[in-house]
This record gives sequence, structure tokens and C-alpha cells, in this order.
Amino acid sequence: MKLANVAALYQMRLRAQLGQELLALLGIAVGVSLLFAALVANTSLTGSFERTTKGIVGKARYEFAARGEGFDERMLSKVEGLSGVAAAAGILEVRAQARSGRLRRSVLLVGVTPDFAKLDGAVSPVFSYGWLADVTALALPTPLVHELRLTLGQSVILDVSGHSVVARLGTKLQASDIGSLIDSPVAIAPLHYAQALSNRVRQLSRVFVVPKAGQDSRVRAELTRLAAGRIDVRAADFDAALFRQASQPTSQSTAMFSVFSAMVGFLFAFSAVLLTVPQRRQLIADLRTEGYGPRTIFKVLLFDALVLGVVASAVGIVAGDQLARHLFDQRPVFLEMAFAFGSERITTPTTVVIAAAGGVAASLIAVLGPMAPSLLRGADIEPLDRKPGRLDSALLSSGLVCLAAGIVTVIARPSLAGIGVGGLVFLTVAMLLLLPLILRRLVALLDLATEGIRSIVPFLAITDLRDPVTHLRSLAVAATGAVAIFGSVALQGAHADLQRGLDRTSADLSSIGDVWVVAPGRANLLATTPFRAPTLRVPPGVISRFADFRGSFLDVGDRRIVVYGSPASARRPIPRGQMIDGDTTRATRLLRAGGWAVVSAALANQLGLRVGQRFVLPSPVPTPLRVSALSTNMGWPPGAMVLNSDDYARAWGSDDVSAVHATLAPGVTQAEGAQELRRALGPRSGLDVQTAAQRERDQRAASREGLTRLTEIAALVLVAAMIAMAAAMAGMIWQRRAFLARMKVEGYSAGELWRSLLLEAAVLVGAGCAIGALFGLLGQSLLSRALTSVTGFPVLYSVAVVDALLSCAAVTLVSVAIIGVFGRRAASIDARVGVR
Amino acid sequence: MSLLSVEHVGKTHQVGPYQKRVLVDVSLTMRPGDLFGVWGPQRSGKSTLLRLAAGLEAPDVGVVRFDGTDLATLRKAQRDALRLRDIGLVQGEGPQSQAFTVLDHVAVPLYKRFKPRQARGRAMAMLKKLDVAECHDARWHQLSDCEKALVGLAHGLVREPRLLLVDDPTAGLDTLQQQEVIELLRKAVVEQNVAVLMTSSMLAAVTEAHESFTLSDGRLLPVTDASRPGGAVIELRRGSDQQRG
Amino acid sequence: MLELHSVVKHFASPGGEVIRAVDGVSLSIDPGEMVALYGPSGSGKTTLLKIIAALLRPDSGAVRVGSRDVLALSKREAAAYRLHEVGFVRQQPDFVPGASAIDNAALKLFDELRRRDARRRVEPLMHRLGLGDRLRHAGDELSTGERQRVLIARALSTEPSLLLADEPTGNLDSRRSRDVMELLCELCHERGVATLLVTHDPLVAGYADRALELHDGRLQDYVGDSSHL
Repeated sequence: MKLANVAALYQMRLRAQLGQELLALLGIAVGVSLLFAALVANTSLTGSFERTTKGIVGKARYEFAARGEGFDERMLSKVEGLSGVAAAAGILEVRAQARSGRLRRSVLLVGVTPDFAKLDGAVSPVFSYGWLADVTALALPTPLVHELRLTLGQSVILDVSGHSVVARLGTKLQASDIGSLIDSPVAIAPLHYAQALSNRVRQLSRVFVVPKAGQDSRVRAELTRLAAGRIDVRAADFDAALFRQASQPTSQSTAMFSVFSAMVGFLFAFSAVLLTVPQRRQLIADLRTEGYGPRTIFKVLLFDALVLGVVASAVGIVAGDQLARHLFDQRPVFLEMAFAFGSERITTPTTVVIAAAGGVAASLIAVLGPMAPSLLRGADIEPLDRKPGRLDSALLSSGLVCLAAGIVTVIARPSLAGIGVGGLVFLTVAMLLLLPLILRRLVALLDLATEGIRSIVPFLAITDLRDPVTHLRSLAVAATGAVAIFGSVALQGAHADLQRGLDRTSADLSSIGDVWVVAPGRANLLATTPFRAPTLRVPPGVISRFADFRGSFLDVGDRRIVVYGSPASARRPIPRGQMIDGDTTRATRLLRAGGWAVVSAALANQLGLRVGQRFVLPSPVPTPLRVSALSTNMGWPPGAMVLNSDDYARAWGSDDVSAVHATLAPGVTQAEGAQELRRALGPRSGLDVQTAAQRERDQRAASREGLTRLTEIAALVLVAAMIAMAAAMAGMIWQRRAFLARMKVEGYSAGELWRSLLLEAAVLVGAGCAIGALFGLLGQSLLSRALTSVTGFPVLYSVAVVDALLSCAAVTLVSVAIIGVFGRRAASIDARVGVR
Repeated sequence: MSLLSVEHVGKTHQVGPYQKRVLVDVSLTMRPGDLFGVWGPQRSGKSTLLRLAAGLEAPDVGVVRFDGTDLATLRKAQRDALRLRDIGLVQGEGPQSQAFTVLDHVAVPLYKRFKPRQARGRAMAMLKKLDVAECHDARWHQLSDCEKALVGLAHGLVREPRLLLVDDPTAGLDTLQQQEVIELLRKAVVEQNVAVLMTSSMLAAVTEAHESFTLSDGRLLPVTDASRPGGAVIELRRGSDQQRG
Repeated sequence: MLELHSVVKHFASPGGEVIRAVDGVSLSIDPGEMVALYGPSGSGKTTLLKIIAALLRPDSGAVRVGSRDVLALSKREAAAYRLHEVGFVRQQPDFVPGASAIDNAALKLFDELRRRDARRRVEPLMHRLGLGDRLRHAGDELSTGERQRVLIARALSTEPSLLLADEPTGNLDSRRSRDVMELLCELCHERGVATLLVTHDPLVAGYADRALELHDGRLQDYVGDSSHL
């Protein structure tokens, strides 16, 4: 058959089935949009960071990066003096907080020189401006300027390195100046000015190096020699790898949720397409009788599927783009503590292709799948032979095998992310395989239970549920609910477990001291910004003792871990309840003694460390330590390490602290203590005083913010499932109107028919959701275990029965309510339709 | 030379657990311009006979030849092509697909040969010829029994077949309407030189054909065969329907 | 039992033309009497049935079943009237696809009896209709004639005083038509059910005690005239 004729055939059927085609389209579009939005969110996160990095480093191949706060700027001329080096440029990066009035924002103060132009990066032009040589002013990206409500020439206060300094806003940077850095919280200043502001005279934190042509390995060797084991020599874009590693949990959880959303969307589409299966079968039967061969029929079906898939994917991608803009656009706050990155949205052709391919594939499977047996046989289209006995036992045995595999995975505590995901897949497949059997048992039970009821209502509901013609559609409805609830219960439950774990970690970390003196700013939540310890004079009887706390980020391998130097004098220098392998009391004793460190399990795993083993910490002054215990990652995905504060000072070769703890004298409240400390610091100090309670609150808020995206996607999945089930059921009910009319001719009332439709919907949706919830709880335990052992997050597992029941009930109620509205209209059909 | 020849054909269907002998040693020869009628009650094998003649089913024993060629020796695709072009099969139930309008239904057989516009044009012309053009936009289930019969014929004839197989076109029609349908078939036989094999559950309808048969326990017997006494054939001769009225 | 008095129902065609589907029909049927209403398709037979079944209001006239004024029934009462007092035999699509033969037959009893009792109630009727070995069969395991007999069992299950039959043999060949008609005849006479049978098949009309013909909405005696056949 000619293509034009296939199209004509499609067109004539479309007129008759527009509603059903639109439902199918909606289903696929929902799946594609969620998949697309999640893909965009993920690629944007790492992509925008990579672009920013590339924009800065330009042609540079290597970076010479300080392990602590910085190294002497004379190192730059030494690097430039190396024989293989073509060009080099140094920068100073210091974490700071910018204030204007009551508005404040964490920024990365970057000191640069006109040398930067030599790197030829995307942002080079701005560095070559003449003003950089000797002005004493800051340049801020325009969005940041607006956020702080600043005007050119106005003053901005910077809290940096433990004091407050006033700087002038000299330039508003446009996207044309700094490219993708425009959305990053950076403050750019001439190097000397930045050094002066941050009190880091003659210091650099990084030198970017462009080797002469063909001299790469030579330069690397020369740089390594120069670094003498105290400075990191690595690829210039190494930060991107660190970032990828750190953002992995975010990306993975988003991806996993998206897969579930896509599955729900697909089931949605599948049940919508199933509504049109009888019509397609009839069409094929007609065409076969005419003498059209299997190739023509395949073409006709393929055309159906492709039109549906392509249109739905296009709609889905447009909708997904909107989702990515408005819902998935917030960035994970916690990553800002260790990385400066933009919020650019990046849509790559790959993303579009993957999403569209998903949509078209879903459509192909949904349209061609149910027809495959007839197509393959090439014979006349007849209903599939139903051999319930054999199919049932096959379903049961394969379902049980999958379930067993899933449970084994749960018990085995997967040590690889892949195994965890595999376990989830097993559980999902087991659920889908067992669903038909459970549903059939349920209907039989219902039949038995309502035997004694004098009403047509249960009878009609039960016979509809048993109707072989609509059986597959009923299953698809139940499966949609099951998959959506499964995904949402498993992921939300694991999310809640993680949240509880993180909350306890926040409490543990904050309670090391009663009141904290720290550098201000949200980016300093983990107390990683160093400053010179101030001298604090407080009236006697308020503070019983002060202790120095030190902490910072350190790059170990491809991980940017957080290292805490905890004071030996603290009541609990090691956060309780974070131990995975080892004993807190012993670890505390060893830490106080010095030379021992608590290492997070995932990090230890990567480095091949066990308890008791020695290792050298790659700090500014490489320092040998021994592992006293293995812990969780304490909420920082790449990993964490706790050592003695004095060990830390030696390892960093500096007495700077990142917090001063005050232990309160008996009878003094945290608020009173904080007030005295504030008074002692004086108004000009760039430091902040926080009570343990306050710090805990802030940390909790930050960790919640980082995980909101999960909640939002879960909600979307549930909403999509509700629409899907309601739409599929409504479609089924709509097709049954003529039958309802005939029942009315028999003398049954609209009310009775409506109640039977409601009962049927409630059984189908309710059972699907309940089964989903049950398997979801298994999935939750699997995910929570995987989170602990794979990523090392602190997870507090507790069975989320209440949450499961709630989402189950909510989805069932809302879907049944929507179906009820349609059912009402269907049941009120004119009885006369029932007589020819 | 014969157009359709059915030679000693037998066919058994599996009905639930038991086997039903639908056709037993059935033979039949048709030339262009023949109009044959087969009378028989429902499920007596009339439709099976037509499906065998259309190459939709293969006989268990015996041979079905179209134009001298054993249909069983053709490839499936060849049999398909034959049906699309030379053999029009008009089934009693009309199209299974509810999506088709009458015009679409009549045009469908032409889509391999013509562009959509041409196909529809020819279909419309055929509907006009059979005087049912006014319902071209209706759906099958909205038609009256008589309109269904006529649209069915249009659908069969539109491809200009050499053999037209018509399954029970008189179902649900009153006597006048039956006459009208038979008359149309006679006309088609003469004008298009097509061979028509029709079935009916109304005896009166088939006795109008050039030759009429009945299917009884799977055997094809001539209706006028006086050598077989008794049985349904004699009792329900033409006009006997009114005996109780 | 059933009394129609000057019942009129006109429709307006899309072209504005008035179609006199039922044009002043008066008719009375006694208990146990079977009346055949003969007429070609489109003669208003089904319209008349709809009016009697309280599915359609006539423009004027009166319809009484027993002592009940059918036209005065509310929607709810009309449903109860159809459920308990009228048996309505139509064609196959009425078969509930997911249910067995006996459940289909007992369908109208489920509101007043437990399912088990309802089945027990219709079982003798099913045996009577020759469906004794078909009770648990699903719709697709029954022949057309068997399905039609199940629907007759359903219509008679509530022991109605009035039976309406719309082309009860429409899908059957003449032999099975006769079987079904003979059974229907017997049961109606035996149970004293007033029966109105609509058909365009003269054979079927022949079974009735009285045969009437509806022509252009008007009722006349049906003469078994063979001249136009």
C-alpha cells in the first residue's frame, strides 16, 4: 500500500478514535516529559559546571592546586620558569560572604591577573581589561548585583577570613564578559586587591599551566617535582571530575525517579493504547479479508505507532523543557559549599534524542506489542488462545523467582549501585508478574464475600473485572497504580530514612560545641572556612572553655572530601551514631591521643583502607595517620574524615581555625553565651556566632532543600498515575455505555450501575496501589540499605507504613473520585440506547 | 474453462473438545456469468465454503482451483493479491472496524491500486450505482439491513472482481428487499460477466439463482434434487413460509 | 393486561419532515395472550415497544399495564416496573460477557435474592429451555440460539405479567426460530403472561394468537396475504 494511502487510512480512523489517541498521546508525553526534564536537570548540573571550568581554564592543560588555603605567589614565577611551560596564570580563591544592608550571599572571591588572557578561555577577555592591573574594586555578575540590590560604585561588605572589609563595586559583569560564570556566585577582583581583602598577602590557590606543544608529559613531571608532594598537580579540568563525583547521589536519585516516571507514563500510554486494540484487531481482520498482506498491515500499524510516538515525544519534550525550567531548576545547595557553579540549563542533542527515542519506543511497543502474536503468525487475526492454567503457573513461578531475587538483594546489602538498581528491577518485575494472580484471587474473594448481598452492584463489578475482553486493560490500570506507588513509596521511604539520618548527623556535628564562632555564610555550613583564631574576652562564669575546631575540603583521588579536626577537649569529638565499623568510645580515645582518624566507609573502600591500617593524608603537609574506625559519610556524599584538631593543624601547616567552640559554664543558656561572645567579638568582626541549635536548624534546612527535587518528582509520578488510571478507567467505562443502557432496560437504576462502576474502579485501583505499597516497602528497605553501603550516607531505616498507606489511600481516592464523575455521566445514559 | 472449481473438498473444524465436519466431499464448478445460490441454516458451513473459495482457508482434503490454479499451491501473498483484485468476498457482518464510514469501507479494497482521492471517487460511483450513495457518510451499524446488503455488494463489486462471494445478503430483509438484492446480483452477472456465489438462510432467495444448492450435514446437494425425499428441502419449498400466517 | 389507547408518537426528521412513528395506536392484550406485531423495518414497531417499556413518552394517549398507568411513572418507578413486571427479550448484545449462562439468566433477580438463591430460582426455567447442561458456560461457549434462550429465561425469571419481545429470533435460522418460538409460546400460555412480539418474519408472526401489522404508525389486522411476498 502506498504511503499516502496508509496515511489516508490513518486519517479516517483518527476521526473515530481521536479521544483514545489523545489519551495515549498524553500518556507517552507525560513519560517523555519527566524523563527529559530529569535528563536536562542532570546534564545541566554537571554540564554547566564543566562549561564554567572550561571557560576559566581555556587552553591550560594542568593546574597546580593548593591543598590548603594557598601557596606562595612566587611559585608562579617558578612555574613560568619551567622549560616546557608556554604560559601560566595564578588565581586566589577565597570563600566569603557578600553583604549589602540585610541582604547576604555566599560568594567565591576570585583574585585574577591580566595574565589570564594568555589562557585564551571563554572568560579571558574580562581578565585582560586594563582596570585589573591596579584598581581596588570588585566585579560582580549582574544577577548577583541585582540580588544584593547594589549599584555601581556602591560599597559592599565582605566577610572574609574572619573579618569584615568594605569593598567597592566597580563593574557589573555581563554574560558576554564571563559566559556561563554569569550565574555563579563569584566576586572577581585584581589579584592584589583580593589578597589584601582576604588577608592572604602574596598567596595563590591555583596556577593554571599551558604547556608548549608536545611538552605535556615533561611539564607534568616538572610540576610534580616542584610541588614536592605538598601541592596537587592535576589536569586543569579536574574539578569537573570532582564535581561529578560529588553530585552523583543527586543525579542518580533523579535518574531513578525519572525511570519510574517514564514507566508510569508508559503504562499510562499502554492502557490508553489498549483501549484501541479491539479497533485495531478489527481493522486488521478487515484488511486481511480484503487480501492485504502482512507487510501492508505492518506498515499500517507502524504508521499508527510512529505518528503517535513522534507527536507524543514532541509534546513531551516541550512540556519537559517547561518542567526543567520551573520545577527542576533549583540546584543542590549542599554542593555550593565546595564548588562554585552556575545554574545554566543545558539541553544537548543527546538528551533530546534519548527522550524522543524513549517515546517512540514506548509507542511502538504499545501499538505493535498486542498485535505481535497475530503479526508473527501472519495468519488471520483471532483472539489469543487463552490457556489460563499454563500461563498462570508460568506467571507464578517467574514472579516468585524475581521476588526471591529481590529479597535476596535486600538482605545482601548491595555494595554496588548497579546491584541495588537490579534489586529494584527484580521487585518491579515480580510485582507486575504476580499482579494478575493476586487480582484474580481478590476478585474471587470479593465474589465469595458478596455472595449473600442482595444487590446487582457487586455482581456487575465482579463480572466486569472478569470480562476476558477488558482483562488486559484492567490489568494495565492496576499495574499503573502499582508501579507509581511502588516507586513513590520505595523512594520516598528511602528519602525519609536518609533525611532522618542526616538530621541526626546535623545534631551530632552541631553538638560538638555549645556555641560556635564561625565565618558567616550559607556556604560555610560545615564550618570549612579558615580564619585566624580571635582572642575572646568574656566575663568569667559564662564560658567554661574554648576549643579550636578545624575543617576544610580536601581532594583525595577523585573525591572532594570534608576533613574535620575535632578538639580533643570536646565532650564528643566524634559524632555519635555514625559508626559503620568500629567503636565510638575507642575511636574517641584514639582521636584524643592523636595520630588516628575516623574515615568514611565509601572513601576507605576506594582507598582500600581497613581499621587499624596506616595511610598518608594528602594534606598540604602530608601526614601519616591510622584508621580508628569507619563511619558514614556524615552527609557529605564524596566522604568525610575526622581527626584530632592538633593533627589537623600540623597537616595543614597552619594554626588557622574554622570554628571556635565554646563550652558553656553550668547554668548559662546557649542564647546568653552567644550574646556574650558576640559582644566579645565586637561589631567590626567578620565572624558569626551561632548556637548549636541554630547550626543544626540551618543544616537540616540545607539537606532538605537538596532533596526537595525528589519529593517533587514523586508527587508528579503520583499525579501522572492518578490521571493515567482515571483516564484508562474512564475510557473503559465510556466504551461500556451501550451495555449500561441495556442494563437500564432490564430495570436497573443509574445509581446501581454507578455504584457498580465505582466498586470496580475501587477494587482495581485500590488493589494495584496496595500491591504497589507492599512491594514499595520492600523497595524502601533495599534502597536504604544500598544508600548506606554504596554511598555511605547516614541512613536511619524505619518502615514507612503510614506514608505508604497515605499515598495509597490518596491516589485511590482521587482516581476513584475522577472515575466516579465519568461513571456518573456514563451511568446516566439514556436507557433507550439499549433498544436498537 | 471454469473460473472456480471446488473438487471433493472436505473441512473439519475444532469446536471446543469435539471435531465438527463442516464440509464433506463438496464439489462445485462455476464459469464467468454463473449465479449460484447455497441455502442452509446458520453454522451449516456456508461461510466456510465461501472462505475456502476466497483462499482464506485451506481444505483438509480436495482442491479449490481459481482460474485453473490450485489455491493451495499459491504463496500466501499471491492468494492475498488474488482476493484484493479478482475475488470479492462480501461477509454478512460487514466491516469489523467501526471506524470506517460507508465510503471508506467501500474504498478500502482499492488502496493498493489507486490514490486516496481516486479510490474514494470509484467507491462513490459504485455506491451511486447501487442507489445507496446518500449513506456514504454513515457508519455500518447505523444502516438498515437493506442498506447493509447493498453497501456490502458495492464493497464487493468495486474492485471489479471476476468472482464475487456473497455471504447471506438477504439476512433480515423482507421479501421485496430480497428480490431487489437478487436482481442486483443478476444484473452484475450480466453486465460485468462476474461469477457470483451467494449463500442465504432464506430458501426463497437461493432459488432465484441459476443453480441452487443446500448444505446439509456438510454435504452440498442440489435443491431441486427430487431423488432425495423428505428432509428440510421439501418442507420449506418456496412460498411455504406463509403457511401459518 | 396491557392496554394502549390512542397512543401517538411523532418525530421530526433532520429535514423538518414529521415522521409518524406511532399514530394513534390502540391495543389490548389479555393475560396469556400472545400478540404478534408485524411490520417492515422502520415501521415504528420498536418505538411502540419503548413506549410500553416506559423508555419513551408518547405525545399523547394512554398506556396501562394491569391497573398501573405507565405514563405516570417516575424514572425510579419506571425502572422498578421494568425490573419486576416486564420481561423484555431483545438480541444478543444483552449478554453480560464476563458472566455464566445462569448468572445471565438470573441477572434480574440479584436485587431481591442472594446470588445463590437467584440461581436456584432460574434453574428449572433453564432446564425447561434446554439449557440444563449449559448453566456454567460463558457467553462465547454458547451458540446463538442458546444465548437467545438464556435471554428468554432472563425475561421470564421475575415472573412478569407482560413480556415484550423485539425480534426474538432475529439472529436465528428458520429451524432454530421455530424451536425458540414454540418454547416462548408454551411458556407464555402456561404462565399467563401477556406477550407482545415484534417481528418482520412472517414465520414468527404465525405463532401468535393474534397478528397485527403496523403500517405508517397505524395498526391494522395482519392478513397472511401471500400476494406481495
